[in-house]
Amino acid sequence: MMPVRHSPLLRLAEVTTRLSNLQSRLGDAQLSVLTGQKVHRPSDAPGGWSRLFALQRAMDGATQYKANADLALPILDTADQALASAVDTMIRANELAVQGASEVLNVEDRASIADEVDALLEQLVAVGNTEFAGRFLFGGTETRSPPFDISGAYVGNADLPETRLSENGWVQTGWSGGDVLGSSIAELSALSVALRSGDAAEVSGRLDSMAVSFDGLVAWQVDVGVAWQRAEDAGIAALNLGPVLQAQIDTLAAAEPTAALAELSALQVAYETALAVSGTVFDRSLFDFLK
Amino acid sequence: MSLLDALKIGSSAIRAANAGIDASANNVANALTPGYGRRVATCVSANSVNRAGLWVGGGVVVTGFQRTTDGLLGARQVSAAGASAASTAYRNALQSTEIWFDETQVNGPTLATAAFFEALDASTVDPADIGLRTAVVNTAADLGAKLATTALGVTAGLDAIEADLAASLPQVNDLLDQIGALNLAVMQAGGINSALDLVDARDTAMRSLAELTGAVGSLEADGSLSVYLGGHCAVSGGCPRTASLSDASPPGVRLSVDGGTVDITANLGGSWSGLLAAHAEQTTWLTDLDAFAVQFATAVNDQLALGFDLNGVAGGPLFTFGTPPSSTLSVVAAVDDDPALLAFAGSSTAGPGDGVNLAALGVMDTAALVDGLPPGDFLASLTNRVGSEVAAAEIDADSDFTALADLDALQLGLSGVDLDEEAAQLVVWQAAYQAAAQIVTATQESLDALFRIVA
Repeated sequence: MMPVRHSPLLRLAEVTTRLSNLQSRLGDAQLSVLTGQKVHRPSDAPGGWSRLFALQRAMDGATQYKANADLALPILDTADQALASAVDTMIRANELAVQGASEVLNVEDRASIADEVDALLEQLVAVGNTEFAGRFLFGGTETRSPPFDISGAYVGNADLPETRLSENGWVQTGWSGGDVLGSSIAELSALSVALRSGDAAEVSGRLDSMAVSFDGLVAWQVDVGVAWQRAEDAGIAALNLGPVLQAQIDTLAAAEPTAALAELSALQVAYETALAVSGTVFDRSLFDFLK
Repeated sequence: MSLLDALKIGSSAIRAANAGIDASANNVANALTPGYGRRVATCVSANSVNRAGLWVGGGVVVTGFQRTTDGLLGARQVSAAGASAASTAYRNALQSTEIWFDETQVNGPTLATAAFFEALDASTVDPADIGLRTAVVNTAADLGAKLATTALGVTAGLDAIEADLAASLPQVNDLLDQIGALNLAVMQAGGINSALDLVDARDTAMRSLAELTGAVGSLEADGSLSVYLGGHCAVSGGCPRTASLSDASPPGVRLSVDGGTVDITANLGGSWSGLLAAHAEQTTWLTDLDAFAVQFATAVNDQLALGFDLNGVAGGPLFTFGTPPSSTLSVVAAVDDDPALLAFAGSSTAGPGDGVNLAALGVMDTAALVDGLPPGDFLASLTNRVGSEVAAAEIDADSDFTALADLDALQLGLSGVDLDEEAAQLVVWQAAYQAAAQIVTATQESLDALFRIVA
C-alpha cells in the first residue's frame, strides 16, 4: 500500500484550490446579486443563446410593432374622421339633389342649390387632401403633395402605403383618393352641372348613381374602421406579448433574488470558514509537542 | 571481537544517525520547496569480520540518500501537466475573447441587427419621413460599429495568442538548455542517486517544459533525461536542440535538427497546443463574422439596388466594407449624409410614400441570408457556439486540473515531506544517536579501565 504523507505542500495546494474555487463561486454569486442576472457571458448559458436572442429580438420587435400601431392609429383616426365628413357631405348632397329634382323649383332656386353643391364639392376635395403630420392620406404613395387639384382632379397614384404591425401583419395607412373619393367628387360635379342646367329630370337621374357612390364611401369608412381595429388589436397584442417574453427571458437569464442572496450568504460563510480552517491547518505538527 | 571493533561499530552508528538527522533536517527545510522529493538515508550492514573464528558485525554503512519518488507516477504527472496546461491555456484564451460576444449588458451585433430591422419596420409608418430614415441609417452604422468591435476583439485575442507563443519561446529554449546542462551534471556526478538536487531541478524544468509544450521525458541508463518535443528528440544527453516559430499566422513551431528544422506544430501539447487550438477556433469565429458582414451587406445592398430613393433615382448601396469585412463594415458616406438616398420605393414614379422595397427589406430579417440562416439567427448561433465551446473548455480544464491535482497528491503522498513523520524520524535518529554515543562511551570507559590496568 502506498504511504500517504501529509505534506504541507499538498495541504497548501488543496487549500489554495479550494479557496480559489470558493472565491470564483463567490464572485459569480456577487455578480448575480448585483445585476439580477445569472447569465453574464455566452458560456453561462451554453446552447441557450439562440433562444435568448430570439426572445430578446421578439420582445424588441413587439415594442416596435406597438410603436408602429400607436403611430398608425391616429392616421386611421384622421382618415376615419375625414371619411365620416365625406359621408356627411354626401348625405347633404343627396338632400340637395332631392330638393333640386323637385319640379316646383325655378332656375334661380336650382342655381342656389348648385352653389351649395359646389361648396360641398370643395369640402369633398378638402377631405381628399386631408393631411396628418405633413402627410397626405389619400394620395396613394404620393404623400408629400395634395392628391386633388382645385378642380377636383386626382393627381395621386393608386399605390397603397402599409405599416407593419407584426411579423406577417400589415395595415393600410394611406389610400388612393381616386378610388375612395373619385366617384363622389364626380357625382357632385355632375350634380352641380345638372342643377345649373335646370333640368329636374337630369338632377333626379343623378340620385341613383349618387347612392352607389355613397355606399362606396361608407364601405371605405368601414374598411378604415376595420383597419383601425386591427391596429388597435395588434398594439394590444404587442403590449401583452412584452411581459410574456420578458418572463421567458427572465426564466433563462434572471437570477431569482432570494436564491441568489441565499447562495451569496452561504458562500460568504463557507469562504470565511475555509479561511479560518486554512489558518489552523498549518498551525500544528508533532514538532510542537516534542520538548 | 575487540573493543576497537565496538568503537568502530559505535562510530558507524553515530554516522548513520547523523545521516538520518541530516536527511530529516533537509526534508524539513524543503517541506515547502516545489519539486523536492523527500530524502531518506540508505544504510546497509557493514561486512562482518572474523575474529578468532567468530563472525562479528562490522556496524553500519551509509550508502547515500534516496529520493522517494515514483518514476512511473512522475511520467504520468508530466503528461498530465501538459494536458492540463493545454486545456487551461485553451480555456483562458477563449474566455478572454468570449466577452466580445456578451450582449447581456450592451448590445452587440446580434441585437444591433435586430435594431436595424426594427428601424426598417418603423419606417413603414411613413417611408418618406427623414427622421425614420435617419434612424435606419444610424442603426446600420451602429451594426457596423458593433460588428467591428466584436471582430477587433477577436482579432486582438488572436494577436494576444501569437504574442504569448512568442513570449514563451525563449523560456522553452532556456528549459531545453537547462535540462541538457543538468543531464551533463547528473551524468558527471555518477547518476541520479548521486545528484538528487540536480534531479529535483531537472524534474522541475521538465515539468515546466511539459506544461509549455507537452514535451515528454525518458530516463536513460546513464541518468540523463531524453526529452521528446512534438515527437522529435529535443534533448539527448547534454545536447539540447532549439525551438523556433515561423512567421505565419498562426505561427508554426519548428525544432532544429541536423542541418535544418522540422515542423512539430501538429504534435505539440501543453499550453502551446492549447493556444494554437484556441487560435484555430477563434479564427473560425472571425471567419463567421466576416461571412456575416459580406453576405448580409451584399443582400441588403442588392435589395436596395432594386428600389428607388426619395428622388426617384435607382437605389444605391447602404453598406460598404473593406478587408477584413467584419472590422470595416460601415454605412456609405453619401447615404449617411442624406438618408433620402435609401431606396425604399418600388418604382421611380410611385411617390415618396411608397414602401414596397422597404417592405422587402423589412422581411429580410427572416430570410436565409447568411450561410442559409436569417442574419440574426446566424449571429445568435455563433454566440451559441462561442458559449458552448467556452463551457466545454472550462469543463475540460477543470477535469484535467483535477486529474493532475490527483496525481500531484499521489506523488506528494509518496515523496512529499510530512512534518509529523520527520519529527518522529528525528526522535528515532536522536535515540539511535544517543544509543550509539552510549556504545562509544561504554567502549571508551572499558578502554580507559584497560589502560589503567596496563599502566
